Amino acid sequence: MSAFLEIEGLTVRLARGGPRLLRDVSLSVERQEVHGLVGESGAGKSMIGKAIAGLLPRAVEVTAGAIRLDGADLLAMRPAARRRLIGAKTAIIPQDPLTALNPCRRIGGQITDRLIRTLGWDAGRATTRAREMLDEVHIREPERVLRAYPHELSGGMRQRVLIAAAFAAEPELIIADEPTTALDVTVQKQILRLIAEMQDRHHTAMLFVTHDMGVVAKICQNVSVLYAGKVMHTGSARALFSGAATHPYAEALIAATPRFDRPEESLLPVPAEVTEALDAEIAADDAAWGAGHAA
Amino acid sequence: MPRSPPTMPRGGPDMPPDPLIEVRGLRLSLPDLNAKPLFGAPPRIEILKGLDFAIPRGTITGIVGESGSGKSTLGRCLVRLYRPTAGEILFDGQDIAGLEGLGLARLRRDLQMIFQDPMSSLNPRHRIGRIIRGPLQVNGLTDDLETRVSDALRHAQLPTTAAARYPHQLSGGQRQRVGIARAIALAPRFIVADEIVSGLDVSTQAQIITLLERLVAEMGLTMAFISHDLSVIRRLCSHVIVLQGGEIVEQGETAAIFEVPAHPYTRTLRDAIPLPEIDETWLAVSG
Ligand SMILES: Nc1ncnc2c1ncn2[C@@H]1O[C@H](COP(=O)(O)OP(=O)(O)OP(=O)(O)O)[C@@H](O)[C@H]1O
Ligand SMILES: Nc1ncnc2c1ncn2[C@@H]1O[C@H](COP(=O)(O)OP(=O)(O)OP(=O)(O)O)[C@@H](O)[C@H]1O
Ligand SMILES: [Mg+2]
Ligand SMILES: [Mg+2]
Repeated sequence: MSAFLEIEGLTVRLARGGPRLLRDVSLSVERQEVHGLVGESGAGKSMIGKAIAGLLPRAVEVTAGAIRLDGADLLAMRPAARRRLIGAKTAIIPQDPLTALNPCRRIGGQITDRLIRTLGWDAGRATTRAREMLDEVHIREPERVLRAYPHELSGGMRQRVLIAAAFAAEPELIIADEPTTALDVTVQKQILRLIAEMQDRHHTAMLFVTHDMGVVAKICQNVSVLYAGKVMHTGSARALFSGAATHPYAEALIAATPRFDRPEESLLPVPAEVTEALDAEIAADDAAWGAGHAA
Repeated sequence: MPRSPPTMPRGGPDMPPDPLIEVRGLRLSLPDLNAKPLFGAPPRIEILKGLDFAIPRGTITGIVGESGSGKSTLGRCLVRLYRPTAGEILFDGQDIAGLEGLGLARLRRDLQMIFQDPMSSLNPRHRIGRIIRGPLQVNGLTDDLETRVSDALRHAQLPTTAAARYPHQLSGGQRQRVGIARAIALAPRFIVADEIVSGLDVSTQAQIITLLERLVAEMGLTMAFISHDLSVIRRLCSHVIVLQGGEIVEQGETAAIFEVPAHPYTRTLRDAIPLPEIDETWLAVSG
């Protein structure tokens, strides 16, 4: 049986012979699986999300690989059909909430849009659902927020609006790009609980981009670790955190996680020998790829 | 020793010595335009409800609190992007709460803010170099302009080549560092940093935090550090203010407050931090 989302050998590079931003990336997400995607800033985490959603910037091009969503080969589809399929089955929680929201439109309409346009709900039902979802993400004054414009909300409120909008239609796959970074830990915990509920109730699959290894430990079943556009390790979260099956870089990321209980040990930079080994691997990879392409 | 009750923020004798910033009775309300009646003035939303605190010179003071509690709004008041409805903000002894025009323009360079949403605070049509150069030129810091720009980029751990890129060509974390570079290029005396590390991976966080510590130690910078990450606050900030619903519920030295949080909200925050360990029961436990 194949997974709900399958990425195989995805390679993305800057156009006109630029460097590769994703290197032969393979990963898969089953129904009812929360799959963590971690790695340093600039590693290409958002790029993977954008590739799935068909939102890659114009300056980059896919040079190899396949993305299959529920069996359908996305890269082989016509743009319109692809957009329809993605719209019906997935929802995205983008990394930058303010730019994801239209500054000139009230929040209410921005949540109900997708429900009405893509799923054909009537306006009344959609608004009721929007209000319910704002409650679920613990927004205190849902009525005020529905009427408000984005700039009238705090950063964390905007982020929760996007979570509510993504969850409202109960999509089969959610791509969440750092969805809880602007939230305090109490709200974050409520959101994580909501994700777990969605997973149980609707068998939602999720690709969860985060840099917080604490969050990964609490919510993800599997994890992929990305460095310079290359997947360095994929495996179960349990094996990773117990140390049974791990990778020096993943271990370093866990060690670098700020720990409230042990402040003096936390926020350790990734050791130089670890990054040097990774850089050597990337250089070798580049050399092999360059040779292959010259031939 | 028992600490003062949570509803009575510590002040007076407990105020830290030699504050760079002293805030008294700070209030801010905004008109609620969405609830405007057909005739007459719209009702006002009270966002900051009378805050008293001080920020000691040459230190980093943390501001924590739940989402929507008023942290960003407070930050904007401190650097005078908002004009408070009432109260005083003493900056080095001078009340800047009501300052306008030239007086305010002169202050701009000294008071900088690094914003929570990096993308929206960077002009998408300008290259990074120009984004950092702009405020330098506005403030007349035009000698060695290019050196200042490349120093700022280097301090924020961005490659010099970033100067030629547009904001959308950078990753989220790289954009965040552009905001930092732009602020520190001006060598301000006070910076409000609004959630600047929360979107960053831990190794970048560690670099930025070391950078901030160095700037404070070497440039005598004073800073208000807004964050919901208690682990980072505990590591970085000597003092901390806890906001809830536009009011200060707890303030004091970080070590003391986090060792024995007096206010239930501070305790809840502490207990909701996910540690990097598998724990099946964690999600089920309330809080
Ligand atoms: N439009 C673009 N043009 C050129 N390069 C780009 C563009 N968008 C992103 N990049 C580059 O691609 C790389 C991967 O970016 P991506 O946004 O996927 O990183 P990320 O892993 O999500 O990082 P972060 O944690 O900082 O958000 C980065 O080096 C970035 O500079
Ligand atoms: N321009 C505005 N008009 C109306 N209300 C506003 C405006 N700006 C902020 N608010 C309201 O003020 C309150 C405080 O917002 P603020 O952005 O200061 O919160 P915050 O503590 O920074 O939260 P977060 O952690 O989510 O960023 C929120 O309820 C918000 O909706
Ligand atoms: Mg990203
Ligand atoms: Mg804020």
